[in-house]
Order: sequence, then C-alpha cells, then structure tokens
Amino acid sequence: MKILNSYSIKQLRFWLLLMIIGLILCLAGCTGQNSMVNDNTLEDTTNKNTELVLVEREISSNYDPNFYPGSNHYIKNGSAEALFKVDEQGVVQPSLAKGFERIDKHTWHILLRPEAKFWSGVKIDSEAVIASLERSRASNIRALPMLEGLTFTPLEEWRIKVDTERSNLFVPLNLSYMELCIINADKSHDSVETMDMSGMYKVVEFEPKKSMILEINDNYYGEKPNIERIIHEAISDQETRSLAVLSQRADIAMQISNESIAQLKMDENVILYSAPASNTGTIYLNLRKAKFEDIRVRQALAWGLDREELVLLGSEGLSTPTSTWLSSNPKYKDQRTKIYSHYDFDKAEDLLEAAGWVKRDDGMRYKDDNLLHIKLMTWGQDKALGETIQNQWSKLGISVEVQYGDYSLIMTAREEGEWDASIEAWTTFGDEYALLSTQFSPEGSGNYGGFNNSQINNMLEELKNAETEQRKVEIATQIDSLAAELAPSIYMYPRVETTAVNKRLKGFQVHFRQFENAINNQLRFE
Amino acid sequence: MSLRNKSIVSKLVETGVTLLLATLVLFIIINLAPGDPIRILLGTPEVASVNNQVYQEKYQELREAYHLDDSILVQYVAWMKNVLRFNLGDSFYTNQPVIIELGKRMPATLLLTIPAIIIQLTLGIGLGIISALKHNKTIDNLIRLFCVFLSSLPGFAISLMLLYLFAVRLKLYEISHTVSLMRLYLPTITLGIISSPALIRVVRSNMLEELGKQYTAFAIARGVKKRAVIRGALKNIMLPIMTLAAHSSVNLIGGSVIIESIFSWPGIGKYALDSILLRDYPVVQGYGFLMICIVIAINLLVELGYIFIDPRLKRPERKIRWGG
Repeated sequence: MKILNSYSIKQLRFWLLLMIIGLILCLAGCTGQNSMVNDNTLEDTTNKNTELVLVEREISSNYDPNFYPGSNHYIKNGSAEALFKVDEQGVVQPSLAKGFERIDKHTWHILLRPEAKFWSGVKIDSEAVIASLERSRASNIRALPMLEGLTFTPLEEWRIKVDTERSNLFVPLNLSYMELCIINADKSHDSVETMDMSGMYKVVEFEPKKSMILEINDNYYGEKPNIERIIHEAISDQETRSLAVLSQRADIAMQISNESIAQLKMDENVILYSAPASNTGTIYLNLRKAKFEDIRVRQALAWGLDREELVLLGSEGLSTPTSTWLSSNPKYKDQRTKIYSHYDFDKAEDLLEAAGWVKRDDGMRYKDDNLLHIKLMTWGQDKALGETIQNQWSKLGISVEVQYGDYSLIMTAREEGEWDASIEAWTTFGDEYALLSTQFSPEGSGNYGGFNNSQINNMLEELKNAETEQRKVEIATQIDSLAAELAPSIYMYPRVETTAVNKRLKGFQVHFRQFENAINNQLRFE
Repeated sequence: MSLRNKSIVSKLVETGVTLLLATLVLFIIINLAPGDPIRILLGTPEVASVNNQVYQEKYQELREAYHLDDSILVQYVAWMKNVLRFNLGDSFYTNQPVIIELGKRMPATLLLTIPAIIIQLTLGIGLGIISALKHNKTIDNLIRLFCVFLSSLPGFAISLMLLYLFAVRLKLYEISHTVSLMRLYLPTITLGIISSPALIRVVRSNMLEELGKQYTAFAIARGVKKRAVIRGALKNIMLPIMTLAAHSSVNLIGGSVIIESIFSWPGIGKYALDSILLRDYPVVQGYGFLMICIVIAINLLVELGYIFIDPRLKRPERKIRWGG
C-alpha cells in the first residue's frame, strides 16, 4: 500500500509538473508572440504597397470555377474574366472580348483580342473560348440559363459567330455572367499547377475554402495592377470580418453585416461602401393556399407593409423601398413607387374586410371561423426584417408566425408546400424575358407560389419576340406593373451589400454586382 | 482470468457494441435531417433557371451517382464497409477524401485544444484547491465570483471581447485564416479559461468534502503536515477530476466550433459546422464517426484508468459495482 501511495504521488507530481511546464510554455509563447506580431505589424505597414488582404464570408471550394461556389470569387479577386462585364451603370462593356457586332436578330459576332493569353501563355482564340463555354455548359448547371439556345461557331481565329434560338437576345449580356468566365479547357483545373485562366492575377497558392494567394499575371494583355500580391481569405464569422478590417489586417472586408455598420462608421481608418444590389427582397405567397386566392387579401398585405420602416429596421436605412419586382434594376428605377406608392393601413384594412376577413374582439381576423394565419419563412440573418413584417401585419389583425431557417429548411418547406409566405431576393439584372419568365411564367423556377395568369403569359410571349430594345422595355414595364397589382408576391427593397475598405486603399469602385470589380487594376495604397 | 483482466475484456466488448450502435444512430439522424445536399451542391443560379428539365436531369444524375436514392440501411452498410477500409468517402464539395480533409484539420484542432486542456486543468485544480483551502475567505469568494462570471458569459461574447482588445486595440493579434503559433495563444487561453469553471467547482466541492472527513481530522490531530494532508485528499478526489477532465477534453476537441469560427481557426469543428450547413453528408458522417471514436476511446481510457487507480480492484474476492 505504501509502495502504491508513493508511486501515485510520484505520478501525481509528474503530471502536475507536466501541466505547469505546459502552462509556462504557453505563456512564454504568448509573451514571445507579442513581439513577433508587433514585428509583423511593422513589416505589414511597410509592405502595404505590395500586398492587399481581401476577406469575405467564403471563397472558392474548388480549383475549377465551374464548381459552385467558384466563379464569382475568381472574378472578384481578379484571376478570371468573362468575355464581357457590366459597369456600375449597368451597361455591358468589353472585358476579355474586344467587342461585339449584331448581324441580325438571330446572329451575333464576338470579337476577341489577339493579344489575350491565359496565365500559361496559351492564346485565347475562338477555339479556346468556345471550348471553355462548352465546358461550362457540360459541367455547370448554373451556367445553363445563360447558354440556353446559343450556338457558337469559330469564324476566324479572333471572331466567333453566335446563333440564337430566340430573336433579339442581347448575347453580350448573357456572356457577361460570372458562370461563363473563360478558362483553358485543355487543363484539368484540379490543382494550382493545372489551373489556367485569364485574369490580371494568377493563383500561386490555394487551400480550398480557406485562403488563396495571387500574384500578377505577367501574360495579362491589359493594364497591369499596382498591387503585387493579393491574399484572399475566408472568414465566415461576420463580427470577425469586421474586426479584421478594424485591426487593419484586412484591406477589404466584404459582406459586412448591418449590425456592424455603426461600429465601423466610427473608425476613421475605414470607409464603408454600401450598394443596393440589383435584386428585390420579395415575400413570395403560396397561392395554392385558399386564403391567398382572393386578390384583395394579397393586395391588403402589400398595402399594409410600411416599406420605409422595413428599410430602416431591416437594412439599417441603407436601401430604398421598391414596390415592383423589376424596380431594383437601375434601368427600371422609375417603377419603384408606381404601384404601392405609400403605406396605407386603412386601405389594407378595408380590403381585408371586403374579402370577408372580419376583426373579432381578440383583435384577430377570421373568416368562417378560420383565423387569418401566415407562416412566414425567412433566413437566419433576416431576424430584424422578419420581426418588423410580423409587427406590421399583426396590426392588421393577422396572426403571423415567423420561422427562420437555412437554405435547406426553406427549400424543403417549399417542396412540401408547408409554407404560406417566404422571403427570397433574386437578381433583377439581365435579359428581361428570362428574368420575368422565371418569376411569373407557370414553369418559372422562381415562381414558388404557382402564379399563373393568362394575360401575363401572353405578354411574356410578346416580350420574347420584341423586335426593338424600346419595345422590350415597354412590355417589361407593363408586366412588372401588372404583376405588382395582382400581387402574387410582395416586393420590399433590394438587399444591400456593404464593403469595408481600409482608408489608405484608393481606387475601390462601388458596384451593384460587387464581384465584378472588387479587385481592379486601379487599386493602390496611399 | 483475474478480475482486472475480466473487466478489461468486458469494457472492450461494450466499446465495440457502443461504436456500432452509435454509428447507426448517427447515420440515420444525418440522413433524416431536412435538406437536399444535391440541390445545395448544384447551387442557386444567379438567374433562376427556366429550363427545369435540364436541371432535374442533372439533379437525378448526381443523386444516383452519390447513391442517395438507396435506402438508409443499404447506404449505411456500404458506408460501414468503406469505414472498415479506412475510407470515409469523398466530400461533395471539394471531391477530396474526407479522411484527408479531416486529417489536414485535426492538427489545428489538437494544437488549439491540448494547451487549452492544460490551462483548464491547471486553473481547475489549482484554483479549486485554493478555493477549498481558503473556504469562505476573500480569495474563495473571488474565485467563486470568477467562476460565476465566466459561466454566465457566453463563449462567443468573451471571444469577441478578447479579439477586439488584442487585435483591434492592442494590435497584438492577427486576424487571418492561417494556422501558426503566432495565432494560437488567444484562442487557446480563451478556450482554457471558459472551460475551467466547472472543474474549479468540482475540485473545490470534492476537496471540501475530503477535508471534512474524519480521517483528515485524525491526520491533523496526529500532527501530519498540512501538505501531506492536502496531497492525500487530492489523491482521493482524482476519480471525479479524471472523469470531468476526460469529458471536458472531448467537449473541447469536438465542441470548440465557436472558438474556431470566431478566431477563424481552421480546425475540424469549423469544418464540420460548414459541412452541416452545406449538407455535405460524407464529411458530417466522417466527423461524427471520428467524434464517436474519440468519445469512446477517452471513456474507455478513463474506465481502464479507474481499474488501475482504484486499489479495490486489486482484491479479486470483492465484487465491484461499476458506475455506483
């Protein structure tokens, strides 16, 4: 027993000693750490003209841009390009392509740059571009909407013919989408060594979903960037992203949460750029539910939303109210207050009364003893928005249950029909027919509620065959207004994308599709 | 076979059965969770697709490729067969073998949690003993206040406050996504500190109990040195400390998700969380399996430790009631 005791005591001493040594080492590491970090900080300051740190919620998960999420991160950090790009005003501009020619209503020519090369030095000719586009068609489901009905033929080394099934389709716009960035299709794109794209930077180190290091592409045809090296990192926690830019370790932090804006505004070393994206925050209504069959109920819900308050509480006042779906597109901004021009509580109440939903003593509305109840599904980050809608509709006597979830949960509820209303924000920038069809045609994948209106279906057909741009805009405007009136969905405001930028960094350009030019060749440190 | 050997064999059998049942439950729960991994994998087009048929074809093709239309039992058997060959499948997203992906991130997690466990044990045992010895004195009250303070503040709040202080105000910490010793100290100290209150309390209450027992009073009356009395009492409370420390280690390895996420530390916890949100089944299953193995292994080690530490087990004539 005595032997055992002395053995245990020895063991105990050994473990205690080990723990103390561990703690001392840890503390020593911390102390030594401070000076190392200090040294590094000093080094960073002197190296600021050669290195830029870009952080965002996630980065590419794959070496191949055709795998989701991929392409927009590669375009964002300047390592990939599409043939065309959209500028801040929403106008399509040449990018990797030199230009385009409209031959007739079904034929376009794309003109390429003879001086353009991939990172590897391989020329980017007609064959290479078509091979890349066809690779996207075969492997990237997200690219399909933009390639639907397009046939590519090499005419000359630097000229491609594009035939379209649809008449008057503006092909350069389709070819400006991030999913159609041009890559060397002869390469396997399964490691840094086998990646080959065309941007001003090339990837030199990459840990999927974690971080990427990029350096200037010496074979770039255009103006070379000023900053030699880009570090592109994923920091998933939104508060940590804000702290990264506040600590001046990150030079650009994207997807800044609304809650962090006030703190960042107070820091004199940070500039905030907020741009309402070209998308419309929409409350989709499940029209398969009997309570939404009556148009007056839907219109009452639309009139009963105070959009100014939604913008204030849901997006920290950074966005602009919109009452039609297309009006978040800069081209259709006049539509913003065309239908539901103001918050009209009385009108909403009258419409509900007229539809037979009567208020009882408990303050709630009933019809045939059925309570007017709405189960609203929205995203976890939209808590303030969900609660504001709940509060506003509750004043009308509607029982509102808000359920927050992730993509899978919302998608499952939609598939099973277990929802009344659901919030989503699709892009409104692009070909009008494609956009409006997805929202309002019976087969549209964004038509969650099952809306089907013959008048709008006919107008969509007319839009599809519109001969001129002016006619196209006219019909699109009519469809947009009519859809808002019929209220299969309720439109609120565009989501805002906020980016925090180090004050010393000059040349950052705000864009409604911020991935287009987060890293551009004008960026430099002062 | 001695009682000790019998106990060891019985524990090993129990471990095997537990492992099998736990993996089955894990597999069923993951596969029953709402959400379709293929829809997330395909992604949402920037422009909603009009051509649903092409999408559906691609969707179905991928479901078949990943055997998601097979029954759960069939999928489980196939998965277990692979697991026995040390193959946890490939991630839906990176197409990399899960075992390699986890292997890449495990060192980062261990680098974070092992020093954190050392800090936790040092604080837990040290402050717990001091608190018991200085019972109801100022220092005891201060230690208890410290415990209440740490327990009542959520881990993420403490982490963000420390990150703000060290990274933004003092510029002594770098916020990035890299694994380096330079980035280790803050998450480690945070994790060690926030996990210590439970251990401090257990050590304190057990020490108080031991110090209040008759044998301690006799020892003191016989003139045994204070140090020897404390040592004896500490030896007697080793079993609960060991149990708590073991469970706490499992929690730290598997549950440091928040710390990893806030400090952007690329360990397995953060990887698992991201994969859960993406419904990356092979990764979630692989992570779950790894965690089950760690929990079972640590429990087994603890129980085997009991066998070796507890002197009663040396007497073959006495029956031992486990867990009593």
